[in-house]
Amino acid sequence: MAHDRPPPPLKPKRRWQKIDVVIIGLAFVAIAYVVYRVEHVLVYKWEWQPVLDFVAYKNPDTGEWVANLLIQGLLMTLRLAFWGTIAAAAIGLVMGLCRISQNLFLRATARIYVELIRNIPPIVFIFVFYFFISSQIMPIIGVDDFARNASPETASIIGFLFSPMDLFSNFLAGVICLAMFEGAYITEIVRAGVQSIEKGQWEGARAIGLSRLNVMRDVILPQAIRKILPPLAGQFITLVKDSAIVSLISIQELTFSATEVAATTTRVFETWIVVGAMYFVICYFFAVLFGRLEKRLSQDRR
Amino acid sequence: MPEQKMTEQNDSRVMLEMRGVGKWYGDFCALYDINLQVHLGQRVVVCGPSGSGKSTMIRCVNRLEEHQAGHIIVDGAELTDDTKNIELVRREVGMVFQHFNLFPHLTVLRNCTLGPMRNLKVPRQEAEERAMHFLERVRIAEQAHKYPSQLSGGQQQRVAIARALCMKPKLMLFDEPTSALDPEMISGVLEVMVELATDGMTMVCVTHEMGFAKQVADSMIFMDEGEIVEMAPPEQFFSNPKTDRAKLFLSQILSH
Amino acid sequence: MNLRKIITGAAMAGIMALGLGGVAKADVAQSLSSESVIEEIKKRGVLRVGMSTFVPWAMRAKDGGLIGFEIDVAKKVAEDMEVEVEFIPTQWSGIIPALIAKKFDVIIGGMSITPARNLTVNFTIPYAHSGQQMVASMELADGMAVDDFNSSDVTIACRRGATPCNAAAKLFPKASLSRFDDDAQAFQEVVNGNAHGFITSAPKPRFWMEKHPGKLFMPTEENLTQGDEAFALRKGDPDALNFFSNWIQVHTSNGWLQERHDFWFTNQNWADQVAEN
Repeated sequence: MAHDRPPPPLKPKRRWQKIDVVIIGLAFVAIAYVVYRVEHVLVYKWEWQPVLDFVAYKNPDTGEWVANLLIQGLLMTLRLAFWGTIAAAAIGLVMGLCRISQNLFLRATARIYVELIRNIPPIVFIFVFYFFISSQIMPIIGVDDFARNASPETASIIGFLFSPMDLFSNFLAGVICLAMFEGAYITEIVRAGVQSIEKGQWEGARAIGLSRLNVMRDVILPQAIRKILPPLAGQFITLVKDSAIVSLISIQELTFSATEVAATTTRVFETWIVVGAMYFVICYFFAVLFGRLEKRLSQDRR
Repeated sequence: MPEQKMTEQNDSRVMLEMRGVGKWYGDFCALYDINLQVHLGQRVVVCGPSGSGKSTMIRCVNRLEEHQAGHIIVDGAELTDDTKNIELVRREVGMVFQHFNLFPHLTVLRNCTLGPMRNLKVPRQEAEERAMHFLERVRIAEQAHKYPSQLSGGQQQRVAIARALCMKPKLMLFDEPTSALDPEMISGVLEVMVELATDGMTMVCVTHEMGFAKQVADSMIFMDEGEIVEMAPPEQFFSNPKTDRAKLFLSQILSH
Repeated sequence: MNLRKIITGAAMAGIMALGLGGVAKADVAQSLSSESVIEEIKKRGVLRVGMSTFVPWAMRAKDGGLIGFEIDVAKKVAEDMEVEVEFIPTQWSGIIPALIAKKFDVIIGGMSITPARNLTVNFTIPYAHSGQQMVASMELADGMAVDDFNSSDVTIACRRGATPCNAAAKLFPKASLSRFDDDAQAFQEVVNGNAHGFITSAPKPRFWMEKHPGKLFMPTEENLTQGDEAFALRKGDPDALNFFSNWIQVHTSNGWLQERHDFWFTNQNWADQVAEN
């Protein structure tokens, strides 16, 4: 009888091998050596307080804790990443579909876009593109006038969602730059994701008379999204870190705030360690979040 | 002569007509001068060695493959490059694939309602009622809320048949529907197909299941090297094949 | 760095081609004055100032606000124009392209007048005269006179893309230069004993020496070079140039600029306002 059979044999637990002990030991020695060098050889007096004051400080009059430059920079980085991701995902989706379109013109456009951006250093692209769009296009759309004449309510909403009014056009330009840049990589992720769906799915869907658009929307993309989620998560985290390049163009995000704090306090190492930790925390948070999402999606339907 | 059978139904509606159809992959000729008429209610079984062009032929009927010569007319509408026309034809022609091609991210029920809701603009509730009706017909209604991967191969193929039926097609194409199934799953699928045939569905069926062919076919087509070599009523085809190629094929397949 | 220079150059060439095309056409004096940035500022009611954090010119106070010599200057300019002031902190390497791209109206950023810069932007008369000073490591360079630093054994740290590196190259052609993104990093090289000396704008070297007695010394109290810091403006705007230059003239004559300069540069009595230690 099947239910009389014994339970599965226990897997033997993996023991510590000698080599593990040696490797971990060596790692400890290496860390200890670095700490020793920093403590005794590097002439550096560690002082964290001035930097920490720029994370948040206690207002001496009211006794309230106020988020300072670095937290504000972090929030700006998050806003950049948030809007940048939405815009990049939109660009990536449209361009990714163009990449596999039957229309030669669309295919060529998307190809040129991807190759152009992938083969230019980000700093060059950001520099040229930013100064072009912000000096030529923004005045045409009238972003600056809009920002200046906005009512206080609008200003506070925009201030919360995007950036302070006076830097709104910079922010917009920065988001577009980032989105254009990351969009090229998402384009390729989307293309690969869609192409990884087997031909039978297309045929099954076409055979019940669905139009190309419907096949894409109802059958191919929902399956492709699950496949592209892991590389997309990686790309999003890259975007958070890449958002530092727009610091070149006076957007007060985390890296830019850090350069200011480092210049003001002269505590360079402390500043960058604190800022590095802040980047790590948000990127790791998103990595875990996407990991969960991925798991849920795969449990959902398989 | 096949004409004997055909003449009986000459007055009924021609559902599928292929005239001089040809198709090439590069220099390789996959189909050559295919001529075929299928009338309303007729059941045609296509057999032949692998690579003989059987699948290509029926895939041309709903334009999953494009033919390069000749004419294909489905219920009076000719297949051309006109996308709208192709989509119309596909709505009238149901297709069942060797590998089912169910949508893994949708439940069985949603697999069945997608076509009617998107193409025929059937409201959800009506589409679901229709889907449940056909799922019951293929005896799988209790699995309606599962995902395809939770079903056996035979069950999946029956869902695929129900999905095609939900479009209320006038013509059903079967492309080796049992070839990818484990032996014990085959009979369930064939039963459903026999029932369909008995109910009068017009069918073109590529299969090696000769028992099924004997049971339901009005007409047997034997293909080899991209051509229709023989076309005959089953009793004649099985007892007295005319060509050596058909004889050889039958001896191989029936000796199993 | 070369790459960055090339990029900056390319970007500026592009911007100027796009932006100045319009200016070239406007050869009528009247249209020049009505298009002057001065009119724009008055209409907008806001003076937008480009600057970069640089002790003690512009620094972050404990509460994150901006303070410093040129912050005072810019506030005073705006006050005299009866408009609000808006600071746009910008990285040094992008500050001139940003001015040309009209991200702000004027650079009040301790920018020294150099002929090379003057080819791309206009300068007012100077509002400050700071020079470059050197601070040296006691460990590596004890007892060395200024001239001794001109040797191939010597490494001098400086901030890239700015006047100090040029001054160092001119004064000590034989020494090797270590270029850094900001002063604090360059300074750390000296403290760590990786560079003999460090050159930057006064008064930072003196402030640092006072903070690290026994580790650092100044080979000379004199300024190594004399700098002339001025406001930078886009080309083709004589009205603005005239206004800002005369503003500086007036506040030089009445002693206001000197008084503010002394407050920020001669000692660190303002130190409790910033988070610096």
